[in-house]
Amino acid sequence: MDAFNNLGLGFSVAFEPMNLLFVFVGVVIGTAIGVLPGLGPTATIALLLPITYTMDATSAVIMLAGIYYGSMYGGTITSVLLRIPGEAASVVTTFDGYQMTKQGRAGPALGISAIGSFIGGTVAIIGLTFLAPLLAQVAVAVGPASYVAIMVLGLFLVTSLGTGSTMKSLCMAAIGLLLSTVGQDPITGTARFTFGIPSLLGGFDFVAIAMGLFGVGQLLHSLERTEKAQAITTKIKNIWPSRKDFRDSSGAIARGSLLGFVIGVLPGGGGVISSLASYALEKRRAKDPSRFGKGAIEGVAGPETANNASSTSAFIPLLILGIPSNVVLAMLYGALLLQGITPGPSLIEDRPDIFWGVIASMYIGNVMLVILNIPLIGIFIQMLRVRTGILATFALMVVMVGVYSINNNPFDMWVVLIFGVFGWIMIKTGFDPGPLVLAFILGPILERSFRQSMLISDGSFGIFVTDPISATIFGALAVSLTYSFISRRRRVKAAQTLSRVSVDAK
Amino acid sequence: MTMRSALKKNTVVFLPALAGLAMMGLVGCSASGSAGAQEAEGGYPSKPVTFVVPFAAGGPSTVTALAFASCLEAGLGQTFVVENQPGGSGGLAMQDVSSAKPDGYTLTLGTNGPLVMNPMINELNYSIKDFTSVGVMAQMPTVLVVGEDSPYESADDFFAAADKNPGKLSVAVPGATTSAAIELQRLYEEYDIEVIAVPAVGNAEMTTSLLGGHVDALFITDHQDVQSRIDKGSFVPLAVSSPERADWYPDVPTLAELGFTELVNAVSVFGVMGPKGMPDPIVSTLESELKTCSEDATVIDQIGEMFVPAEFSGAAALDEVFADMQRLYEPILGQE
Repeated sequence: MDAFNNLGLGFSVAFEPMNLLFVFVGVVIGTAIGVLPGLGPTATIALLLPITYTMDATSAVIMLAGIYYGSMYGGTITSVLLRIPGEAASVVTTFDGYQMTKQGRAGPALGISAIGSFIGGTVAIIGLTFLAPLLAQVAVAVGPASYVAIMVLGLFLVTSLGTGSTMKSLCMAAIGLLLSTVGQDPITGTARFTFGIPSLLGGFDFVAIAMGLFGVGQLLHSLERTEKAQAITTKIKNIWPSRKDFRDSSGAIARGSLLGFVIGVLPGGGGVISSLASYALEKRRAKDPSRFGKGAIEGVAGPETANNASSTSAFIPLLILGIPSNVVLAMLYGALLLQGITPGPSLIEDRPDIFWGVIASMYIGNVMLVILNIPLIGIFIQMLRVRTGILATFALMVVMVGVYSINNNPFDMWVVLIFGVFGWIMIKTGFDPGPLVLAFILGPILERSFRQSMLISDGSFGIFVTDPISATIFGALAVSLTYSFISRRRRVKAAQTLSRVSVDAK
Repeated sequence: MTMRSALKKNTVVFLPALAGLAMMGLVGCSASGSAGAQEAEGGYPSKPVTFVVPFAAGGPSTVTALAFASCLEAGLGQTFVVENQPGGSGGLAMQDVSSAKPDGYTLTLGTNGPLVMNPMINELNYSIKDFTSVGVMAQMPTVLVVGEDSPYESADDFFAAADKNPGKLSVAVPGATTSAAIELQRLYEEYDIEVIAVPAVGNAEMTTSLLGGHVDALFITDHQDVQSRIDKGSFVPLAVSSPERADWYPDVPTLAELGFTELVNAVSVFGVMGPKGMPDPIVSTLESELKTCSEDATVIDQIGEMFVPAEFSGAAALDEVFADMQRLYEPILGQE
């Protein structure tokens, strides 16, 4: 078969000693920056970009890709241990991951994430090898109107997955949407809600808000408690997931791989949507959905798997169509341009060594990551034994450096601190920052696509019906809303009759 | 070439040893390794120069900045650190640079949107007058393209259809505060042809929307990605926005030829700028080095032969380009 021949060529490239070295370097750097909260692949690759054009093109892309998917592995660690999500997709992991840590099950949480990530990543690479050209068409078919539908679906998922009351989740999501409107209007370019502060012209940075609400808020909260109370909550029960853990999460990993692979192809919100969708799916399928948000291992396994699968399939539009679907991939694109190579439909014919070499290197990189990460889990969870005061101070420092590195703007550091205080108040009052942060990510995509759709259709809502993807999603949403409304009314009626019967019986 | 291979060795030795924050050091290391011995007159530059790019990393602006930075570095013997400072359509970076010390150690990539249009639309603490021009690195025209299956085979077809159905044809533009968007507005105001401008973010999103058939055409900044699509036939160019035809599309008419004589301004200029009041000796040092770099084969290769003007435009010429733009757009954008 052709794909096997090509893959053979790919492996012959990837197994060159220099390329092997660069896969390794890439995944090590990726893991390291993933673990350090705030430092993300974006800032790292931007720093390394000037170096890459002195390197061989294939090696450069292999290394940068390694940093990217390596950071996806690493990002889980702080989400689980400290409730600090390093990137958008890990926000969902904090829901159950941090609860597991509190129950002394940080080891199994990290173990299942590493395994899920490996499986999700590998499934996606296999998909990338055989289905890439087919799926690339999906990425193009998704226009503004379809995005509106996908984002609305995303918002529905966001509000349904909160652990507390739906009302509180809705409030938080609304605040998140409002915060996302700060900055320049996406269509006219005029300033909105900036109060004359120049730094607000760029809007709030997602990382700054997420780090503040989750990370700093949690750090402040944990500093309130006494050392004694700390010691008890962070007792570590076991390091490796039990047989039951594996049984519980195997389905979630399988479904997460598929979901992540398909959704990852979408430009923009792919990563978050895939982990959100996986979490919502697992919660819906669960016999006892109330376990979610209280340390359900499927709630960690599914989203983490989906997240890694999607970060791999995000390479499809880049390598096949020459369309980078997020900032990190845009930098890979830039790295290739600097080498005089324009990624696009012709890449696969003009430079099969790069195309297949990078794909083959991902198989190798994923194996390296799982070998690298599993022994590290034991070391990472020792972090929890460090005294809270010291750990919190150090984490705060890294967060501040990381946040500064994103936009080279000191303003973002203030944003972290201010949102940190809000985050602490939210913990105190029982509000969940998850819906806020997720709505903040979806908001701008929703607004821009909606306004683009309205421009294209000349203000007619018909565009949402004529666009097949949007019509399907809105249709499904309407059906499921009606269904849940009817079934609830029926249940209420049944309960009423029941109580009437019992009253009569008296 | 020997310099490049030495660099390569450097990178290989250093890379495995680093992780996380240590990378900062590496950038410095390998960069200063390439430093030529040549010192410029008056001791400038005697320390690393920060070159701010007002957009996120990865786009044409970063590629241009990196290509020139490494050449300037070799010529002037100091590191040029390219720093991406996105946000507010480039407004944040421009604001920072305009208030930096005019000592030649803070430079920026000045281009139409952030430099000229953004301060007209938004209240910002800077305007074009707060900068010193050094010279042009690259310039890219805007091209009107349609997909290969488009019913419009020529610019005449397209504009005739637009004239017949005012406000029906959708054309994606790279953002609201871009020359492309404003030229379409002028097309309506001065020539009474109304198309819908759909602002998108960057070439990637625009490409997707045309390939997927979500818009009728793109008015897109010409770059390697656009050219490779035109070569392969998935994009068909209808018209270019530059005053004269582009050498690389000899059969594609200009908008001016098509009767829109005034629409010759949607050309993205990437210039080197510093804060207002940069001393003349520093400007001329940079200017002459920039000229040398604009003739450097590696630089030309990285940015694309057609985008580095064959005839170098220095400080005075760049000043004039942006001043013209200012004069032209003020009456259009000033009203809002």
